[in-house]
Amino acid sequence: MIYSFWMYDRHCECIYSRDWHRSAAHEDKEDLQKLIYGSVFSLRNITRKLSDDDAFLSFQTSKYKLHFFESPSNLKLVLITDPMMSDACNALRQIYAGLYVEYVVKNPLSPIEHPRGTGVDNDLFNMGLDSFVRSLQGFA
Amino acid sequence: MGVKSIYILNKAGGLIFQRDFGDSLSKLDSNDYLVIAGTLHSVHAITTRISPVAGSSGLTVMETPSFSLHIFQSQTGIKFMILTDRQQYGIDSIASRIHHLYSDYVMKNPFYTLEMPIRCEKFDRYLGAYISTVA
Amino acid sequence: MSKVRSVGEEVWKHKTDKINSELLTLTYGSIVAQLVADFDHDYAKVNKQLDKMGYNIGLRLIEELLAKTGLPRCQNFRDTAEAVAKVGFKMFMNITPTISNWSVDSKQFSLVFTENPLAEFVELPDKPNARDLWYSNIYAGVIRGALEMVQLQVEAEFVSDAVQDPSLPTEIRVRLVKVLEDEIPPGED
Repeated sequence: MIYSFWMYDRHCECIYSRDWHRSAAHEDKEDLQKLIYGSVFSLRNITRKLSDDDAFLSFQTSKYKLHFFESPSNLKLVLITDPMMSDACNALRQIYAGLYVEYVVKNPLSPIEHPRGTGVDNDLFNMGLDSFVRSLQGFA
Repeated sequence: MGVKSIYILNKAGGLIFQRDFGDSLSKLDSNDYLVIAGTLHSVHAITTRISPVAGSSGLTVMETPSFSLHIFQSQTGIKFMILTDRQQYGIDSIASRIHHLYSDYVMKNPFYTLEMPIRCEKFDRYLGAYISTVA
Repeated sequence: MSKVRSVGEEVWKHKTDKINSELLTLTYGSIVAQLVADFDHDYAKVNKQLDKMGYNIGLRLIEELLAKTGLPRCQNFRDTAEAVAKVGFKMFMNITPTISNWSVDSKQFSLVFTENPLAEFVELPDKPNARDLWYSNIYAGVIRGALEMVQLQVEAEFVSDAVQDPSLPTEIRVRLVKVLEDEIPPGED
């Protein structure tokens, strides 16, 4: 079961989010995206302190698993799934390379910097992401 | 060496025990360890709140390319954090054994003050002996 | 909750070291006797001291219970009573008090003991206020300390003691004061 996808730019802003099967009602999406960012940022720093790795791959709790990928340009991609799902690092890498870079970065009309409030608003990216995630094993 | 480090945190997230085994991952000073412990304590709490489904526990496992970090929390609120290499299995029984050693050599030492840093020589000794038997 | 009972028996049979019960009885007896002498027969103070000692034991003993039994968090106070009687007392004293006299709001219950290893050979002295002494008051403290560590604030008091009056049972009344909500570890709601 894949629950949601989040993207943060290098200025710590949430520039994209998308839900599929979310069952618990989170009243405040603003808060939620900040908490996710905070956890991910802290864990990434701890990983760097403890080893030579640049970032962690995933973490899990009793009810979900969070997969993480950071591009060399400090763009952070987060996927939240059920705990049984295997590492989705490659899937996130593909989303970055095959969708974000293709449809957003390479599109001269679509902005790269997303100042506060404006996120990635790109139809091709939306549709591409949706169909890619739905095609992943363990989606439903 | 399967188990690389063990951290024990008290209820408030303070680091009360830290030990590296074998060749540790990187050289850190005591301040670094305190910061890591405090941060993990907070992140553990936050991770219960970002769950898409109600009733989640806090963070239990974190995987990186070179190590795994496991967090086990007793109902009394103390946390055991175990850093292992990625191939280590049987973490549940390792955590259980460490909990046993803690309840014996720390809790039953009348001169140990609860919530304070653990300086119990017997605990160190038995823990070291046990960890060296873990493949 | 026969599962709880079997957990207690299993742990008693296989996972605990045993000692000679006479040694425990005599050691405890000498502690009480010494306290009585130290406090100059002020039995109220002795009771208080036994409770304090029990409290400190309870704070530490709970970790042993959790480690050896792997019991999950209790969902309600009735589960807690079962765990205390059928697991706690069973694994540490090899006795299983009965749970009775539940209050209407399920926040109070009694533990009734048909046997008590601590007081096996005890007769209270002839002193006039000797009946003020709760000989096994250490139990009350242990219950209080252990439950506080799992975020339950309770009061535990002796109501009657066979040592004082053999026609009465030995009974401890346990009352839930409150759940220490803000101390519950995260993720364990």
